[in-house]
Amino acid sequence: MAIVGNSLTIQPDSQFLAGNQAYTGYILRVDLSTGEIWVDQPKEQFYRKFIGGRNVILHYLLKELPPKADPLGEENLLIFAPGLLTGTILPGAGRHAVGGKSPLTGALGSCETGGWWGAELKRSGFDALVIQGKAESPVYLWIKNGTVEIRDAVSLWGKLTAEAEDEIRQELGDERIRVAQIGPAGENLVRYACIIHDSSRAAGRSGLGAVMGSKNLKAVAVRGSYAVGVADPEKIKPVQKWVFDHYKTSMAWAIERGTPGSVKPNHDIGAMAIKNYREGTFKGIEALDGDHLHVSLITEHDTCFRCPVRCKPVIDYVDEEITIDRRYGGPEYETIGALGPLCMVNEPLHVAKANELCSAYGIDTISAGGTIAFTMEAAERGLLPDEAAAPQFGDGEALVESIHKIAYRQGLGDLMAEGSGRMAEVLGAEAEDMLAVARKQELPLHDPRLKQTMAMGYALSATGADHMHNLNDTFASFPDGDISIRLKEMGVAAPLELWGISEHKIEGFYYETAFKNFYDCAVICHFYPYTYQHMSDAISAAGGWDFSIDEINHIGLRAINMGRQFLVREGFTAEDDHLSPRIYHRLEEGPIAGKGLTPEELQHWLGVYYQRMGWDEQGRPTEETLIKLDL
Amino acid sequence: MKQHTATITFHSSDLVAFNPSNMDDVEILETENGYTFKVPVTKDSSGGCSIHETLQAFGIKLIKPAVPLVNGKTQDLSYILQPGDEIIILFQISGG
Repeated sequence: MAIVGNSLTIQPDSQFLAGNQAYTGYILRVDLSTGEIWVDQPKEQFYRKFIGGRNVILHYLLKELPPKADPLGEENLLIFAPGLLTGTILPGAGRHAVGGKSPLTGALGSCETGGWWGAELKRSGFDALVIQGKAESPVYLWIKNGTVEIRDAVSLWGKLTAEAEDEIRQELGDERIRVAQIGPAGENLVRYACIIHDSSRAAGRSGLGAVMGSKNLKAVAVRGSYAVGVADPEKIKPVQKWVFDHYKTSMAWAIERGTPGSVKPNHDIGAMAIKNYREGTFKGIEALDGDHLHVSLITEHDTCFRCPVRCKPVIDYVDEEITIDRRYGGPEYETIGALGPLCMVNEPLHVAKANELCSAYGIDTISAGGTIAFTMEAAERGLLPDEAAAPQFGDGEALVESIHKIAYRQGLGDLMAEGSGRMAEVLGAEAEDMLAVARKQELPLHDPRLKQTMAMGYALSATGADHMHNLNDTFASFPDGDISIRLKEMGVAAPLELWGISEHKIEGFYYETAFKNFYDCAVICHFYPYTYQHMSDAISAAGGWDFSIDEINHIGLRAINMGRQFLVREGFTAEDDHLSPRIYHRLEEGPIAGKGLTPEELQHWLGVYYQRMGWDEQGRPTEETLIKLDL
Repeated sequence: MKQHTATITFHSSDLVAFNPSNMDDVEILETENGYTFKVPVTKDSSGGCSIHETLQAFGIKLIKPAVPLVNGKTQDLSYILQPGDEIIILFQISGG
């Protein structure tokens, strides 16, 4: 496989090479249409203002992507953006963000992933990678210590993710190369295709795998050996020490069972959606809980760059009928919920196999589960043209088969590959009533009838429904939890009440969503219970600045406001800040029976939040707000 | 006079820390995976004690994020205990 485009070699900033700052000083640019490769060299102020991750993504989208561009067209940008802390000694900073315009929502596509790739990109000399254009035929990028090549990937097209990773490593002769790539789903432009890293870590949401596929870009392989230093090591070491002193207790849940350990408790309090949001309890949930899976299927835990926690479940399974390859990892909480109770599947092997296929084909498990559950209900109601081919609730084999059909757009899978929102537009008004989406993105497994402030976050987010840069009502109601500690740092009384939305909760939502957006800029694992002070110390150390707690807050507010600016220029209005009908449906049984928001209540609290954010009645940031945030 | 009580069950033993010697008024039962505490329910002019206040009063410390299920319905830790309430404290974390 030969070099097919130009190549470029740079020498990173001397301060970075000397280990005196956490940013390299280079943002790599690639135009796949022309084969041109170049770099941007932002000034120090850029790094201080944006930090990285989501803010860098939004900076480029707002500056360079023409409004109303086709998400699957040449114009769209695909941006890989680690953060200022990525690759440093700080535990939990092995993540990076990926962004572009989403083909699923038409809004902001932005998600984060763990693993090793983000740190490796920094170690190869680049703070971010911005890709534009479309290659004539399949290619991949090879980045090593400041050298960049566009290489032929015709023979890789169609390969499963782990297979392609193997071939790239073999071709380049280095087993430690880190690969970000799409599978067949991205190649076939499935609107919720994801980008898989290290064969098991997904930049899952927003359909950015389809954006990568639309550019004929199969993979980005990176290898770096530069060390990512910080300007003031003595300032970051106490934060690192605090983690090592506390993580065995504060993150014991992650060490012991990982996120699968919360499956049954979440089900029992009504947080987990069942049968496309129609039922309150699910028989057989125990089989899908971490306690059971750690006996029956999960064989080991994996970890991310410089993370001592090792929370990632891995399944290695072989019997006469099913094999599950350990390279594809194992299902996390969201995946188990989406492919299990949401579809009424309680056989762990089927859920695990469906998860493996999502990693191999490169499909977002949350949107896949949401779309399959929606399809199952459509079949039940006789809304599908070919009901015989449709999956039925509770049929695990049909669940697995559906993943395959979606990836290759076979039969009904071609329609399912569009996501439930577009399916409903085809199937008609009755199907619209069955939808559980915000901005056409399927909901994560945090029932908005229980977590009502999170429901508001689903409606507001520039990405569509997302639980990450959101406020989790149940966690925020815990008096000694990290959210309560952070809210108190910002002068907000904590904990927050669990039920409903109030002025008090809006204040908590304002600060915590800004903090979570800061995490996605820095880019930090959300499981780490850092405080504002920890982050102020870590950023100060990384950049060599005196970075205040208020600046931490402003980093997050910039991300939210730039996301809002992006929505406005793409034609979204306050009327689009809404939730689909199924979310207002009240359950008749179970722990949250009768509970939920009304559309009027949501409307009211959105208005209160707009005001708190300094937005006008249409939810647009005012000039004063943008000036205050230096936007 | 019969004392009014409620039961608080922790679904997992690693959710909670306590010292039995400080809990004379509380009956402690070990369950398969965790503990059940039978606690007195007091009524005063302010209307009674919340789950959180009751746990604090007996030195029962929640060491992981958790949400209570009260008589089968989800509540928060500020719920005011009533005689006969059956409470299950459930661990809360998620993501991935």
